[in-house]
Amino acid sequence: MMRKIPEISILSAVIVVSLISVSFTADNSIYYNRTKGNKSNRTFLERLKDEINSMDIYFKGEAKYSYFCYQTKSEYTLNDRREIDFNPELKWYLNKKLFLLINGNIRYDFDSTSRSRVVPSELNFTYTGEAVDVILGKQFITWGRADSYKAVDVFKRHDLTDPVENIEETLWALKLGFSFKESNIEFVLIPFFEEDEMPDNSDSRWFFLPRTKNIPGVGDVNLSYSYDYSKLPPKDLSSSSFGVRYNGRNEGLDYSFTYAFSYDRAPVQYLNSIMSFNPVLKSSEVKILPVYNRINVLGIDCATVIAGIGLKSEIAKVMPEASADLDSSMTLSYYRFNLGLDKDFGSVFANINLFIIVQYLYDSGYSAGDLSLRHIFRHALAGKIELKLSEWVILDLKSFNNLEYFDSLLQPEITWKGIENISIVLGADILQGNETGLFGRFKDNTRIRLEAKIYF
Amino acid sequence: MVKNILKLVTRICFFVFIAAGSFLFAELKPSEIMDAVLKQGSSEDQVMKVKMTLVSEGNKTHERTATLYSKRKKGEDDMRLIYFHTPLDMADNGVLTIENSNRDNDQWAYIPAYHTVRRIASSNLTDNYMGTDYSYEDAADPITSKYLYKIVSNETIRDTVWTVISAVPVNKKLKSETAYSEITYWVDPVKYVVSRTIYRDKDGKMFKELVNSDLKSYETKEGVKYRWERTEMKNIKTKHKTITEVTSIKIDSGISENIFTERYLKTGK
Repeated sequence: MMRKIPEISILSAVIVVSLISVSFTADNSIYYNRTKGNKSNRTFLERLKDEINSMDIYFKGEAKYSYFCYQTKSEYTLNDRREIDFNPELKWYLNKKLFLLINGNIRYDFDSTSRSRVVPSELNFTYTGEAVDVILGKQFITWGRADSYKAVDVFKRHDLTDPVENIEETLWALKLGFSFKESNIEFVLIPFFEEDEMPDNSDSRWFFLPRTKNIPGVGDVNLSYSYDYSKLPPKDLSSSSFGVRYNGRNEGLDYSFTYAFSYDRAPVQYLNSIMSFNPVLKSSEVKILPVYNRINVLGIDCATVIAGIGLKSEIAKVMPEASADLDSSMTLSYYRFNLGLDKDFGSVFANINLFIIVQYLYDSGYSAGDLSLRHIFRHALAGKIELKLSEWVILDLKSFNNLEYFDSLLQPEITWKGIENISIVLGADILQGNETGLFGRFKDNTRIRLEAKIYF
Repeated sequence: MVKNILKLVTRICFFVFIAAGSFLFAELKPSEIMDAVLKQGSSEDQVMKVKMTLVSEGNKTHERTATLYSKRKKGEDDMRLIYFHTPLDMADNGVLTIENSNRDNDQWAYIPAYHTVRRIASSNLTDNYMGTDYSYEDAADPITSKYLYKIVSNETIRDTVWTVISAVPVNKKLKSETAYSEITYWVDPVKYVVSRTIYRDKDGKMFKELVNSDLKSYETKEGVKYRWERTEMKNIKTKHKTITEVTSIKIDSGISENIFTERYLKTGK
C-alpha cells in the first residue's frame, strides 16, 4: 500500500500535465494559424499558445506508463516493474535556419529505483544552410541504413539497464555536414567518452554475472558485485572520438563510406577480482572493472530496392588498438556484417497490410567466455512481421534468433490507437534457448508488458 | 435601364466565353483534354497545408494534418515531400519521393523514433495512402498514354458545362496493377479542372467517388491556376470517406531543391 501512493500520485500528475498539454497542442495549430477566430472567444491556453507560436517556439512530447510482469519469479530480484517516462520536447526557431532543440527524459521506475533519472536526452543547436549543416550539442549519432542492427553504427550509446527495450542514448557531439548535388560528407567530433548505462547488480534481472558460485570445500558462496570505474576513459579531450562519412546516391542506390576513430562498445571487458570473502556468511564481494578499448573502423553500407524488395547491407572492419589492459585476443581485428531484405506486401486481404523484414547478422569478434552483453549477433537472423489490421490496430512480431547458440528473443505485440493521441501496447518478450547465448542466459526474464502512451 | 444592359452584356459575355471554350475544347481529343487538366494542375512548385478528416461508417472521425511540398524536377518528373503534424504519434514523420520516368521512383521515409532516414519501396498502386480513402494510384497523376479516353456526354450544372470523359486502362502493366476498370471525370472545359470523379472496380461496379468544391484561382508565373479547397473521397463499399481541406497554399514561391533531400527530411519543420 505504501508503495502505491507515490505511484498513483506521480501517475496522476503525469496524466494531468499530459492532458493539459494535449489540449494545448491538440490541433497542432503551430502549423495552422487560426487567426480567423474571434480573439475574445479564445481560451487562455489558446492565446498563450498563439503567443508562444508567434515566437517560433514549438512544444510537444509524450508520457508513457509501462508495466512488466516476469513469468519466472526470483528471490533475488524484482518480479514485476512499473515505470513512467515523461519526454517533453521544445523546438525554438531562432531564425529560419537555426533552431534550439531541448528534449528531456524524466524516468521514474517505481520498483528498480536506480533506473530513475532526469536527463536532457537531446540538447542541441541545429543550423541548416543551403549546403552546410551543423548540429552542436547532445544528439543522436546514427550511422547505417539497415533495420534493427547496424554494423557501422559505431558511436551509438545505449541504455542497457533493460537491454530488451533497446533504448538508444545521445552523445555530446559536433556534427558538420557539407552537401553536394547527389552526395554529402559528414564529420563527427565527440569531445569525450560517455559509457553506456549498465544494469547494476542490486536489483536488475539483467545483471549478467552469477549470483552464487560453488567453491570446493566451502560450498555455494553468495556473490555481491560493485563496479570500479578507474579504467574508464577520462572525461576530457584525450578520450575524444572522430568520424567521417560520405553519402552518395546513384540510379536508385544509396551508399556510404565511413571511417571512425572511437571506442569499442563491443567488447567491454570485465576484469573481475574478489575483494573480500566471508567464510561464516559464505559471501564474497567482487569488483568489476570495465575496460573500453580504442578502435579504428572502416565501413561501407548501402540500400536499394529491386523488384519492390528493399535491400540493405552494411559491413565494418573493426581494428582495436593494442592495450596493456586487454589480452591479445581482444585486440584482433574483426568484422561486423548484415544483410537485410524487406517487403511491403500492401493490402493482402480486406485492407489488412503486411510488411516483413528479414536480416542476417554476422560478427566475427571475440566470443569465448565473453561475459559482456556484446557480440550477441555472431551468426543470427532477425525478423519483423507487421500486420496492420486497420489504422488503429497493428499486430507485430519481432524476433532475434541466434544461430550459433540456438537461443532467441520473440516479441509479439498488439498496438491499439483507437483514441486520438493515445496508444496502448500489449506485448511479450519471450527469451529462450541455450544458456551460452545472451537470450538463453536470461530466459527467466520472459515477461508480459503493457504500455500506455499519451502524445501531446 | 443601364443596369439591365449591363446584365445582358454580362450574360452575352458569359455565353460567348462558354461557347468559345466549348469550341476550343471540341477541337481537342479527350486525351488532350486530360493532358490540359494535368498541366493546369501542375506548377513549378507548390507548398500546401492540409487537414484530412477520416470519417468511418459510424461517423467516427480522425484528423490528420500535413504539409505537402512539390517541385518539378525535369521533364514531367516531380519531387514531393509530405510532413505529418498530427496525429501526434505521427508528428514529424516524413516521406520524400523523387519521381523517375525511366525507372521506379526513389522514396525515403523518416521516422523520428529511429533517428534515421530509411529507403522504402514504392507502394502498390492499390494500397491505401496513410489510412485515407485515396490509393497511391489516386494520389499520382495518371499517365494519359496508358488510358483510352472517350467523351461520354456534356452536363450543365450551375451554369457550367461539364464534359464527362471516361478513361479505361489499356496499358497491359497498368491493367494488371490498377484497381479500376474505368474512371469517369467531370471536366470544366474552360478552366480545365475536374469537379467529380467516379471510380469503377474490376467488376464495373461503382467503387469510389471524389467530389471537389470551393474552387480558388491563383496568379502564377504560368498564368492563372485553379485549386480546389475541399475534396471528399468516398469509398462506396466501406462507406468510409476522407475529407481534405486546404488550409494554405503557395504556388510558384520558388522553394529550394534542398527541401527534397534526406537531410531536410530529418531536420525540416
